[in-house]
Amino acid sequence: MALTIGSLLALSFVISLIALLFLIWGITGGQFDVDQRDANIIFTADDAVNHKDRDHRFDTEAAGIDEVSRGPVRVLIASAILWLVLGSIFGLISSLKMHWPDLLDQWAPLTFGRLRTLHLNAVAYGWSSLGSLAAVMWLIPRIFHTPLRFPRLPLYGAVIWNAGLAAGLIAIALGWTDGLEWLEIPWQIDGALAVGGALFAIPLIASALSRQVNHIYVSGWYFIAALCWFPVLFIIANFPYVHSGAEQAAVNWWFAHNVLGLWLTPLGVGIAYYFIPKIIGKPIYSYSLSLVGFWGLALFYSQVGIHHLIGGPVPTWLVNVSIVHSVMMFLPVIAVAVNQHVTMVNNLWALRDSYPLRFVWLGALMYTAASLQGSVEALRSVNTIAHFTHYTVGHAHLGVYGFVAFVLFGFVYEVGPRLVGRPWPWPALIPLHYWLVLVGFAIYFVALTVGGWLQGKVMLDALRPFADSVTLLKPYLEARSLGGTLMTLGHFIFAFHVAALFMQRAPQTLARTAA
Amino acid sequence: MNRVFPLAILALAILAFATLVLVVAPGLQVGAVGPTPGLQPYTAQQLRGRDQYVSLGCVYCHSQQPRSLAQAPDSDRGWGRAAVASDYYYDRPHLLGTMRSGPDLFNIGARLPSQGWQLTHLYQPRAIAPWSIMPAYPFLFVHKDKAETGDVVVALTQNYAPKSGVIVARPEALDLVAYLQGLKHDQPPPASAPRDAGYDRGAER
Amino acid sequence: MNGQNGQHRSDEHFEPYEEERGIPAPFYLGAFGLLLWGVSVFIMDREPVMPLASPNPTTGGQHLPSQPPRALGQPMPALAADPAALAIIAGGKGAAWACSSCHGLAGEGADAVPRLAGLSAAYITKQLNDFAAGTRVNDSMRVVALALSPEERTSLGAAYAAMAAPTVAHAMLGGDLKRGAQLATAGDDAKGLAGCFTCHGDQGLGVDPDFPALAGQPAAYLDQQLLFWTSGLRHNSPDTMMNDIAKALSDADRRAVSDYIAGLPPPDPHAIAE
Repeated sequence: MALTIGSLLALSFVISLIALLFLIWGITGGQFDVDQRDANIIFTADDAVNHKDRDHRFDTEAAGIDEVSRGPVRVLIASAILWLVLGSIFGLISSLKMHWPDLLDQWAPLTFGRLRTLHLNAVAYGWSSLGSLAAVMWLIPRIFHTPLRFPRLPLYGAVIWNAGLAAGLIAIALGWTDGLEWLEIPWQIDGALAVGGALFAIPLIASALSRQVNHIYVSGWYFIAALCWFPVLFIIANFPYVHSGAEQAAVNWWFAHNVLGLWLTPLGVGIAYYFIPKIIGKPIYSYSLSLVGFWGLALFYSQVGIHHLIGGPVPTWLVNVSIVHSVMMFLPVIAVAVNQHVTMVNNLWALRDSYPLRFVWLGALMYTAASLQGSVEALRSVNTIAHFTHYTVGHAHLGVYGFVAFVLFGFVYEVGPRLVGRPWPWPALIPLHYWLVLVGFAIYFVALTVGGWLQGKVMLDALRPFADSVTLLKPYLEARSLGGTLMTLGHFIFAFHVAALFMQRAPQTLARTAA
Repeated sequence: MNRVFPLAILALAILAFATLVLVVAPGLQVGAVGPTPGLQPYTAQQLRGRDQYVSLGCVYCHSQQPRSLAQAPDSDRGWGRAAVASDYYYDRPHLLGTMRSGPDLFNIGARLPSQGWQLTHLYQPRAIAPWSIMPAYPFLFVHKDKAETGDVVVALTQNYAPKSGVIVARPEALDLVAYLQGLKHDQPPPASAPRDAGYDRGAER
Repeated sequence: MNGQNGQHRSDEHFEPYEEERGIPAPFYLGAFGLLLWGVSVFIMDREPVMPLASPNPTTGGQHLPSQPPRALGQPMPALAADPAALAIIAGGKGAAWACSSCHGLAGEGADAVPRLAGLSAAYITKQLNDFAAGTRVNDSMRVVALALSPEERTSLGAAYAAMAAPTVAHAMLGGDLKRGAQLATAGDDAKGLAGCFTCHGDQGLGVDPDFPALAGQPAAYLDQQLLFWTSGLRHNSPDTMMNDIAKALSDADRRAVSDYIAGLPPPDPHAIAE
């Protein structure tokens, strides 16, 4: 058989998979050997070595390791929520404009093409990124048993990142944009986000190097990798005057899917990996699966981007690479799913008790769902229907909202009182927020999934005029606006509650929570 | 896993490998093919219009990449032949798009070549198609009492026309329309130009 | 349950960790299956067996028994046409855009825009009336037709009928031209299809007033109209004849016949007059 691109690709695919398996096998083997001895080294002699659950205890409050990271985490949470509120408003108006097209059409910054872009950038780079970074900065001391190193850097990072993002959004509103989806912020401003990202990476790596435990908990792997990946991704994709034409489209989607897969996803998964067992008080199912999940994500997720160009003007082999890797994402996703959901399902009682856990676990569940859906969506037969439709928009929100935002809501509710030393002022607002965003998002997702699928079917039917795909979609777009309104309401309540918690002056004792 | 640097280096190495496959290799392959023979570079006015297209975010609802007939009836809708990489030689930024809330515009210059139609449609899409959900772009136009020499007046039906005076296109609108009129891809594509042929294999034509 | 809750609350200092279970066996099975699938995708999809569907490009017309094409020269407007109609063609009227802005200065048409030059006056007028009445559906032409008075529609029909213009159409859908020629001239008995030219005249030059000339219409326009006839979106023929014919055409046949007819020399009122 002649050597074709296909057989070369198949060969490199097999080699990289075998390398991955060897790597995991090697690490697991080594880990199992030392783990027992590690346990003896790390924990004081009084901790009964045989009593496993008691080995894994670390009193952060007593150790006082939050002292230096409190400030940065507070700033990050506050700014993330500010972007969430702004981004929700932008998103809601964009959604309304899709069925009331003459709404607010007199001023260019309020046109759909710009508002939608403001929405995406505000929630992706503002809320999701900064919120996740807040969680990372909060968790670093807990994972590494040591105070955050260089605690001023995240503060500077937050300032630079926020300033860059604000400047970027203003530029987009005024029509100055790089014009690529997910990369709209002008490259002249992008430097701020790259530098800001690096300023978060340094404290993370420094704290990891001076950690007081031998083993790095799985959340730590995800955080370290994500913070290494982001600046590289962002700089390559934004490098001006290098990319053009169809090649630029490939770069565009390589980046756009990596900003999800190698930035928001590892951060979100890492946070869920911490809070699910932490709140339940039971360990994660399997260390080996954690490894598969992590390295599988790195290897497969990094090559899925071109499934956004299926049927498009890029080489066939390139599309095939992304399709195969998209489907291979089943492996890490199932590994993570087993790890997180088995722990949860065995302890369902905890859900009743804890709204933070509900948020985080539902987020993790929607991560599993979004990823499996994404793998299937990359198949040629499905993609030909779903591509170019609102089905994709529903899918994107299942990932970025259902997963990342829900995990972050849970994080803020769990950590808020510990951050400021006061209980939530109105605990009843938490379930209100929960049900508003849950019901709102369910309406949102179902409407776009069903509507988008029908839209795709019409567009594939040569006998139906294009206009049919538009008129058919209208009720679904209206339902989306209804869902979006509920979600936005939930965000307002959330923002109000957090603001009240942060700004409360009267000293209160935690005892009031019990009351 | 207990070591930070091997973890970070391996993670970055995997990203570098992905970059090689998804960015560098296609860049080389696509870069080796020049423009589609007969494809005209944009004029200065079309480039200004293209900037409007980018800045107003048209790409979020309009793709510019018809698929082959083996996959979808895009050509039957008059959207043009299946796009190949060399059709985008002069495009920076690329505007392939991922949504079809509106129709594909790869061949709009051949499908709807009328400047007058495009201006009316930009001023108020529902003046032409009542079902349209496209935004109106009134800020690309100006309301005048009387057209002056050189003004391009927008043709409007009574229910959308101003009570008195005329609607005149601003230069931004004229540039944008010039760009749209230039979007014609009827040149035969070179055989060497890449495109995803994954649907064309053995398909009934 | 309560006891567990209590324990949960008090367990503030629990630190997450992973147990040392191995990877479940079904997971290996799944991984192996996915791996095989992935390899097979790469190996099997190495090269497309069939070339692109569409780029069987502009040269389609060369197979045809063609008359020498009219030299591309100055467009030739109608000699004795109503000046008011010519003004609408060149400059539009009210809400109606200039006809020429889409259909070309000489009514020659464009990629997916129909050719009007040399079509029968009665046919053009009827279509304009149908657009206005909504019996032929087209958003843009509806706006145009409603802006024109019945007299203007009539005089526009006459003006275009008298025009001659070089062809701009060519085969562009990748259709099989031999099959197209067969369908146009002889039809397909097996499918119960008479040849197009049986009604639309020798070489598709049209038979007044009900059967418009087809020759030289852009392939994409013909293809699209046949689809509209198939779906019933277009239904303004005297009976359902065109709907029935279009429904009998497969996708490949529709493209073949559209490509073939596009390559034919268009009607030329001046030649007839000579």
